Amino acid sequence: MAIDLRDLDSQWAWAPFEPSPQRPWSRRLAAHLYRRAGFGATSDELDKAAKLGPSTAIDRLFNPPAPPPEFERDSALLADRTADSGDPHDLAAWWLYRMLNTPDAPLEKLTLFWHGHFATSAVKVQKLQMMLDQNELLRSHARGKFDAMVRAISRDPAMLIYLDSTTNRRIHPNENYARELMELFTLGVGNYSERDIKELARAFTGYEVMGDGFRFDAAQHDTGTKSFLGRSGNFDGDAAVRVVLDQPAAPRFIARKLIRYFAFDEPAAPDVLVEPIAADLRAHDFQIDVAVRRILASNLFFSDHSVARKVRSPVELCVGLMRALGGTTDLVRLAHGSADLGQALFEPPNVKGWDGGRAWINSSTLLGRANLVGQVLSESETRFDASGDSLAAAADHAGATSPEAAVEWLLELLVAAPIPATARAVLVKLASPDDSGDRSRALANVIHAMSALPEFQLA
Amino acid sequence: MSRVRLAVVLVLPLLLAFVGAARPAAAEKSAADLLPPSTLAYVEISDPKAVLSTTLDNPLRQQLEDSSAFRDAMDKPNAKKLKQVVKLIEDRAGVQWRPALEQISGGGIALAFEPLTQGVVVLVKPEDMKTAEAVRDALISMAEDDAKKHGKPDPVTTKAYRGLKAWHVNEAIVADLGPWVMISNKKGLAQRVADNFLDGGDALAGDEDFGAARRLAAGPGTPPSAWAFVRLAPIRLFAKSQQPWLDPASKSDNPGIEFVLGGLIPVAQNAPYATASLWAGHGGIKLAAAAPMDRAWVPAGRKFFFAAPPDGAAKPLRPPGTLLSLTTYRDVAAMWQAGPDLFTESVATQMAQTDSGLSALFGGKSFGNDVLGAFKPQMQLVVARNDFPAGGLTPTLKLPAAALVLEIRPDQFAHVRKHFRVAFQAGVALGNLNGAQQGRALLDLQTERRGDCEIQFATYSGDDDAPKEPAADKKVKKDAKSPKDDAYLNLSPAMALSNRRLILSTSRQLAEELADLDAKEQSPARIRENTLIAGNPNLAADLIKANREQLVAGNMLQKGHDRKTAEREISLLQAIAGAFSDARVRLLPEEKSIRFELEVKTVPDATADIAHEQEQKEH
Repeated sequence: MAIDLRDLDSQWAWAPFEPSPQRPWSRRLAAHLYRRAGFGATSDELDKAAKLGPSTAIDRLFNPPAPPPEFERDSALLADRTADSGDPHDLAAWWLYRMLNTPDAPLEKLTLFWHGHFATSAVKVQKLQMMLDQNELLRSHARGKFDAMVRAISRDPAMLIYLDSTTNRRIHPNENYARELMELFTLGVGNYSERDIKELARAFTGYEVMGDGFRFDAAQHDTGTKSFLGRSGNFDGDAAVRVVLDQPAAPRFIARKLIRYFAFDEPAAPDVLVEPIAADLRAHDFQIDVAVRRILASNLFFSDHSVARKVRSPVELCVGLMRALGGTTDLVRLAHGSADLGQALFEPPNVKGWDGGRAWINSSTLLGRANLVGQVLSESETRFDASGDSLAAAADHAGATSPEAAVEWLLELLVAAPIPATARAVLVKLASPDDSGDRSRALANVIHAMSALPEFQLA
Repeated sequence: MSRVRLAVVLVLPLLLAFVGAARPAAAEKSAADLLPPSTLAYVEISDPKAVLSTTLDNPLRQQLEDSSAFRDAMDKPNAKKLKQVVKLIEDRAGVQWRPALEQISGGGIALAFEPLTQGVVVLVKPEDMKTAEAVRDALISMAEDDAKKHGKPDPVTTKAYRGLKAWHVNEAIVADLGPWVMISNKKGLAQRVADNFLDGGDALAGDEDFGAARRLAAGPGTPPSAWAFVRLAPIRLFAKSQQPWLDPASKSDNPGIEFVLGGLIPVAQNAPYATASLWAGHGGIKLAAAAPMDRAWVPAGRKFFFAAPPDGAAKPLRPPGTLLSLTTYRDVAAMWQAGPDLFTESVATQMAQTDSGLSALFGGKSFGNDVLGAFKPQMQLVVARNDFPAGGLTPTLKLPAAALVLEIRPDQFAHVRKHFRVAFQAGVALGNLNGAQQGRALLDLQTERRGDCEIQFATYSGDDDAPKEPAADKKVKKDAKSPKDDAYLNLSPAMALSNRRLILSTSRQLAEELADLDAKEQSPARIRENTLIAGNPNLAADLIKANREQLVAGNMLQKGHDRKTAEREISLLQAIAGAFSDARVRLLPEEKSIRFELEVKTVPDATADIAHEQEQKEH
């Protein structure tokens, strides 16, 4: 019977994980780390991580080698061209390219977190260049100081357009941004009043979008004294952000979201578990990577409370599959596929972002997920160059030469939870090549069948 | 199935057939002399070497074989197996597959389908027997080895029919018939062909339709490398229940298809047969399809499709840099007026509603009668290179310009001038309203005269696009980044009006060039074709070059390639486009037939230039 999270010792929970005979460091735990910190690991990466141990593996993840110049050059080319295309799915394909090819997967994973947090949709913004600029802003602040990111997002043209805040005059302050800043970005419901919103909105007067850029119109800024959240002063937008983030609710709000994103969907983390992470944020001036690192290195993270306790988002499913197998495919189609399953990058459903968790799964998306995996594996554009041209070559490279070993290898790479013996037997049968002798086809069939299992949907 | 067994099933019947042909010819009969008159479909490759050479000696072959798509196809299990089988035969027979194939099939190949027996028959005339014997011996030894290995009996048996020797290999029956070798999957059909060989009698060659089809397929000039014949009546009978449009009483629900193919539908509904022909050579290839046609088959509603002989489409206007020109005869006004007879009720209702809606844009005039009726049935579409002057606004994605050229009826010039001027100005104003909402530069409307032609055009001004300076009394911080979603800069919409033609163009430059060509033609000339599409793939190669980075990016995302592979694929695309000098599609109605042709001409040296360029880039 699982222990109630409220009964957990928070000191033990967030203490660094030390392998023990009861909980040894293994390729499976390394796969869990890579799946949550990034989008999954190849067989080679798991081999290395297993030898390094948890602490060094996490060090390597958080101090990746500088991206090769050609990666940044190609990414810049693709960003430039897809922003010109006018189709948000093309821009989403560029981001999938980054997620698949970057040596710093945790950075892209965090950028995806902030994209859901500061949700902004190209459907309303219309201008893809603005969406791209916002994405780059989120990436540049992703693991830095949260207050700097909030100040920057307060000036982001895409965000201001999305929240109908392209004009904000002192005689008629626009309350939308002020409301969402407190409700969705920093404090959460119940930690501010309607009066706080009205006063905070005055601090952002003069923040406008002119043409394609942000401008601060000093003549339209309210220079009077504003009183909100227990403080009074002639605050401008930057100072107001500081006042908001000084609220005790702010670090708790962010800590809770980070725990849910990286550790487990359900149940919601109790205050006793949130408080140590919030304290870290407070102590380190809202330095995000300190909190993320503590979560990913913890006993709780490597415990049964976290392993396979999240539902994969469509993007995690798509990128995780290709990254783990060293594959490439038609990324525009993959972006459409992810959108069909409920996660259209650059087009979150509303200002609250994606609900995540169980909301990813229903009878339609469950079938859709398996169909998408099957479609990706059968497309002629799908190749496994990075792992030796074919799935069969990738399996050979990993030493998985028999059907049993191949299934074990794929389960380790792609599935977070143990599967029933009957399902495993079916997969082993599928892994045996038919008369045509096409082993890659047989392995593709195994992955397709695996993708229909409930366990495959977990991360 | 083992490789050897596969080879036996696939290749042995053919090879036995070729070898069998070594027997002296009893009588020189054509393939059509041997086939029964009930043959439904017939294909004849009279010059297999030419067809092989066009495919295999193409200068693009090496580059195509280097492409990732080709490599992927060759990596498929079936392709690998086929290669292994070919290699086995080559090793055992001591031959190379290509010369062997040319020598074995050099005298010609014919293939036919006979519906009464549901049988297929292939007739082959070998050219060199030594090669055929060597390959036969190799195959028999492979078959024997394989049978022995699996403890099975010899798969090849022989039987006699009226003194002719026949080999049975699984389902296939093979026999030599003088210089011909016959292979069939049905005993009844094989016997009928053998009877014709021995006795003569009713044969396809004596069929009246077949004879007429052969003459129609040959066309004027050089005989085709291959041709095909198919009887349409049995197919219509079979397909009518699933293809209601084959019923002459049916009505169309698709005006687009009716516009493009409307005149061909009565041909499909009535013609007794159709033919196809292929001319292959190093200068290019030509494909043709033809069928008999009687103008009486075309109902009144579809008269819009054909001009009265000898009239046809307009002689195409081709300004410099033309990528593609389409000229066609379509009396759209007549088609519009025939709407209730031609189309289903819902489509006819939609057309009536559209007529009413568009009338508002043209000052209350009826769109069908007054607007479309003001033009002659000759219409052209011209797609040409879009030049962007140095120092001006240049879009990231460079698209070609396109223009619609319509001929005005002599008494309608004043009406057309008045209504289209207003409609053009209204269109520019609407475009500016939309552009302002999108934060784009605005179109500046101007007028110029070239000879007797008046041109209205609208251009994006560079000054208008520059960021506005902030007012001096405001403290303004502005993001320096400018928008890059600039495909709209390809547009400089223009409308040219002479007293002969109306030209609606996406670019001022193309409108001016077409206006200059129009001025040289005091009376628009005609061609025989109903429709003629002429393309210049070489210029398309230039367009690919101009948009190379965009295409490379697209390839990387859509095919998952790295940059180097993507660049190689785009270079290949450029090489393919650059390797063709001319591409034409023609629809030519003649007195008693109608002919469709597709012709592509190659430039052998073009690929070498582009390959060299790519090599330089990679180094």
